[in-house]
Amino acid sequence: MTRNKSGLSTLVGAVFVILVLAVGLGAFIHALNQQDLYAQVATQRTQADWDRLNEELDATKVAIVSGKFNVTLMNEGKLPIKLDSLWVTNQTANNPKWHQKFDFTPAKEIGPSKTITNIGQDLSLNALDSKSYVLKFVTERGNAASIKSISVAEADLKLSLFLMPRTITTGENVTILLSVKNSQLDADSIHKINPIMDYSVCIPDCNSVAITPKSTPTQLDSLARDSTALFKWIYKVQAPANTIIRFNASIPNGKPGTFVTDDLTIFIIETAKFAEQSTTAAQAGSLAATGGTFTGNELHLLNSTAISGVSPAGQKMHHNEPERIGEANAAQIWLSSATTATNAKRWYTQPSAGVATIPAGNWKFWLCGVVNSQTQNLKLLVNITEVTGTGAFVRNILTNTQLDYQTQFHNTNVKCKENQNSGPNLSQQQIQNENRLRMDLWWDSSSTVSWFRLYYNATNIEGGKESKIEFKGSNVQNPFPSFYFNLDGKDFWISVVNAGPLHFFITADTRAIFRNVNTNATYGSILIEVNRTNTVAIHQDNNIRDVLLVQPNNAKELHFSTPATIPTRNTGTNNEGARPTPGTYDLNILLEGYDQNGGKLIKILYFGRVTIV
Amino acid sequence: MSKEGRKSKGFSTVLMSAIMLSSISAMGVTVLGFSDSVVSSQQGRISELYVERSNALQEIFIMEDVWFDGVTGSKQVHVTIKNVGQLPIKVTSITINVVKSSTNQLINPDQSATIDIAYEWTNSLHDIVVQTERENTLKQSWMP
Repeated sequence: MTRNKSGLSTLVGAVFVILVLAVGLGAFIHALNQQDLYAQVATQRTQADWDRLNEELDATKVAIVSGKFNVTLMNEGKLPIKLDSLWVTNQTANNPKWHQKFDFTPAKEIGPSKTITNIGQDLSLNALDSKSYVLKFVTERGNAASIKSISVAEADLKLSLFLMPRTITTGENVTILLSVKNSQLDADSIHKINPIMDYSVCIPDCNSVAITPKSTPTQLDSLARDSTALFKWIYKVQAPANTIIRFNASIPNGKPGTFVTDDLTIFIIETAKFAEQSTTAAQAGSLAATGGTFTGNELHLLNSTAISGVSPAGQKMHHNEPERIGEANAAQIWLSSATTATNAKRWYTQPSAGVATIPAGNWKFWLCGVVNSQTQNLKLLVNITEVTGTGAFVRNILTNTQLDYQTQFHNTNVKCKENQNSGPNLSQQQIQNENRLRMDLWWDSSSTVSWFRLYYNATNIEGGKESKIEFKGSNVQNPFPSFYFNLDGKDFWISVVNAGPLHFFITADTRAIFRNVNTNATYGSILIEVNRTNTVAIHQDNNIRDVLLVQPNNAKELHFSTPATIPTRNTGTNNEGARPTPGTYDLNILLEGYDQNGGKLIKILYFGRVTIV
Repeated sequence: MSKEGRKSKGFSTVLMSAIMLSSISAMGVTVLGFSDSVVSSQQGRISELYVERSNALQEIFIMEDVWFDGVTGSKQVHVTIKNVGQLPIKVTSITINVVKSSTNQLINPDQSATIDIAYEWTNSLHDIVVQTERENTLKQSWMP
């Protein structure tokens, strides 16, 4: 009985203990639940932080288009981005600076690795080209991307100007490139770059200068940091010879000093040598221009150049011996005995660039020369033939046409006279692309003079005139700029002109190279002597001269050996290898020497194609 | 005699047992009640603590923009705070460098609010600390 009662108390006590433990367990479970909830929140927060950290928004470009911002944004992260707002600060405004927020409603979404453009075009804000702005985009996650775009008024710009070419003849085009580099360190972009070109400064003056824009650049909406933009102008320039035109490129409203200038020099192409100079302008800057042209023993070059603007207008053809310019015995060809067409003096025009149309009319032949007796008649015969660029016959234009000069010429002074007969009257002529005109001039046996010297380009010629053919009424604008030389496979002479300001020497290493245009067979020629009158041998031995001085505005004739596979000074020996076979060759002259400043002169002068017969 | 003696002895035992049972019950009820009271109190405190911490953890805000404005003598700093979290926040103070300004700005989720602080700023870097009611702080440096 007692044991039973004691057991009841124990049981009751145990129940209470269990109840107490149950209360404690409940508390423990509650604590665990709270912990779990907190852990979930912590996880969400960590995820939010992670997402925010991995959000990569980049403002890649900003411009002002039609008075509105035009921003390009790129999402470079892996999460989609929502744009909430844009803060715009006008950096140029002062006290106070202008600062405003614009909300995007709804938010603009940018997918991962996506780009959106034209941000800002629909804002109510008007952006001004003359102001600098900072734009800050804020995302839904709380990140921001800023971009700063400044006006040219605050920009550090590096300008460079390139004239191509820097020397032209009147009527030609000059291409001008302006390089603009954004070297601003504290700005992402410069907006609205609209350079202008001024050419109102000329030497001696701009009165006779006509510049026609052929192409002008458009403005640039924005230029990113460290980027470079190129602006291109093309102008057609007409100006008197020796005019210098200063092209001044500037950025309107730019910082003081944001301009760059370069000078364009105008000269007149009198002979093909200058055309060659323009394309072989000196390298290394030591020689402004050098060039050369051919002279031949029997065959002569005939070049043709448009002389639009010169009265009488027309196409002129003239012999080309520039080395004799200004000399008393300039560029003369002796017609001293009756000849036939087979051994006539022969000229070629340069190839036509495109189809050249010569209108119908009388062709006039102007010749400058001296006769042995001014009381004797001078009559010449002429053939004009259209040939291909390599000299192949195409068609006859004039055959055995007499030019009657009667007694117009003087026996001491050079006179330029037109033939007394009306000149051949021709229908419209079309010279096909790349074709040339060939003129054969020879003595007419009905002439009573015993000799006639034909002069070209000499300053002492009457009135500065020159021998030429006029295509009356011609408006041919395409000159025939090239060279053609009919080489007989023997030694030959070349004239080199120093049109630059520096003296230079030509050394014995100068060479001529012939390359067959069909087979690539190549032959070389060695410089063997200089000056056709008072010849001086060029040799590498100490006992003979090694170099030849060419003064500015002077020319020297160079005598080259017969082209051969083993070039030698001793032309005709058994050691010269093979000579070139008849055909068409490209001729290059490797001109070596040094100038008055010790600068090395190495020029490769391309003389075009020659025919070796 | 023996019957009377057995009766007296039985009563005492029963009485004692009753007393002990009562005592144990009373003690058990007391302990249980105390335990429940203590545990309930602790549970409440734990819940409150976790809720506070959870809410504080869910509070995310940024300084979207700081704009230095005004002229000498009446300069102001405009601090724009954006609530990017999921709970409303209440900004209680903004401290610029060492100067603390109290405020009571409520900002709902996804909303921004600009708080204007009178402060004579200089053209240098300024430390700005934003504090919320949940005692979260955000410190950034801004330059005029």
